Amino acid sequence: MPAAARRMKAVPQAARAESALVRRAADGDTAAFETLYRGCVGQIYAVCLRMTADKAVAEDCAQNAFIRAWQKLDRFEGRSAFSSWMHRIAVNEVLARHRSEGRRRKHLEIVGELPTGSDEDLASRDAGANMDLEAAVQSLPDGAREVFVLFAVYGYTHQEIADTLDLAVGTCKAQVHRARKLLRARLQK
Amino acid sequence: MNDRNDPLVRQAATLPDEIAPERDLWPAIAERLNDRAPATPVQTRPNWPFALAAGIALVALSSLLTWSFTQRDTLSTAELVEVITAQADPFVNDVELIQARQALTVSLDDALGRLAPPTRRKVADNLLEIHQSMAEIRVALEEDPDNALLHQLLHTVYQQEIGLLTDINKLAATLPEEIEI
Repeated sequence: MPAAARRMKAVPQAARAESALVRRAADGDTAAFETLYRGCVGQIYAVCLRMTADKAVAEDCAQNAFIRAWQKLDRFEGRSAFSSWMHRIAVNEVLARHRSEGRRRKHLEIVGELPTGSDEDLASRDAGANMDLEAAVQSLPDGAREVFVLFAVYGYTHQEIADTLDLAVGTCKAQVHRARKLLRARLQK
Repeated sequence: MNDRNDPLVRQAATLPDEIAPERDLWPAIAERLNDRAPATPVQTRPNWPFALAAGIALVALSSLLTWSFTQRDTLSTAELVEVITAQADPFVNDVELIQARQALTVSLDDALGRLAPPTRRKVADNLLEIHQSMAEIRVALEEDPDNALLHQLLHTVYQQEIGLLTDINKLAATLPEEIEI
């Protein structure tokens, strides 16, 4: 299970309440589904926004993800938190969107020489640095951003990313390396 | 350096799980939920135990009435109407067809009553023949409920019945009311 899913794991008590809501929603109770939506929309929108770097597209992907979840509620087995299940649907929605748009991302573009800096300097920035990092991540090229977001923010392994994005593991590693170099350069400006 | 130990990767892992969208996405989602029924399985076939029992009852009733009518020289309008409106058919779920039948049988008693006895007898024979066909198709459907051809055949026979009922109503509309003397 990706770390993202572990991070989104609900506590046991909440899980029981969530399970009841899922059952009600599966029976057609839209109010129950709205409660589920309210409980994880921030997480779902976050992953959509980080992967697409576009607010309008992220909103669209998040909405489509919830529609798909509603349509597939009978297949939700409850072995993970609802938000973890939604996370996977959202990631797939973003990827499907990219495929349908026919975007041909060059995962192995040659990265030009970029200025490098001390990693420790960057890591010691204050909390406000997260905002800079968020913006820098969104400025990454599509391929590097998708891989970096899944790897660094959501804790996927290279193998999980390779399976999800239909890439070679080596390509994923190269994209993470590329993203780190680009991010360092952009954060030092 | 292991990718996980990279300070940037470590920092990225601390980014907040949630980002609130600038607008509420729920109204648009809720609107689209109504376009499709949720995960609840939709029953597309009749309840087979019920269908079997109902089918047997329909066949028995239809056969009995058909037999009894063919043994007589005269036909009771009320009994004929009873054959036609006897019971909902568990094999038919075409709402438009059901509504059309209901509309055409509302005043069937009155319409049949206006027909001259020879005409009424001929109409009755045709209606009974149609219902006998329906009964036979239902028997076949009980044996083979997924047979699309049988379903189509049953539907076609219903259409023939609707055609005949329409003709009866049209003909009756051109005739004066029967006066009891």
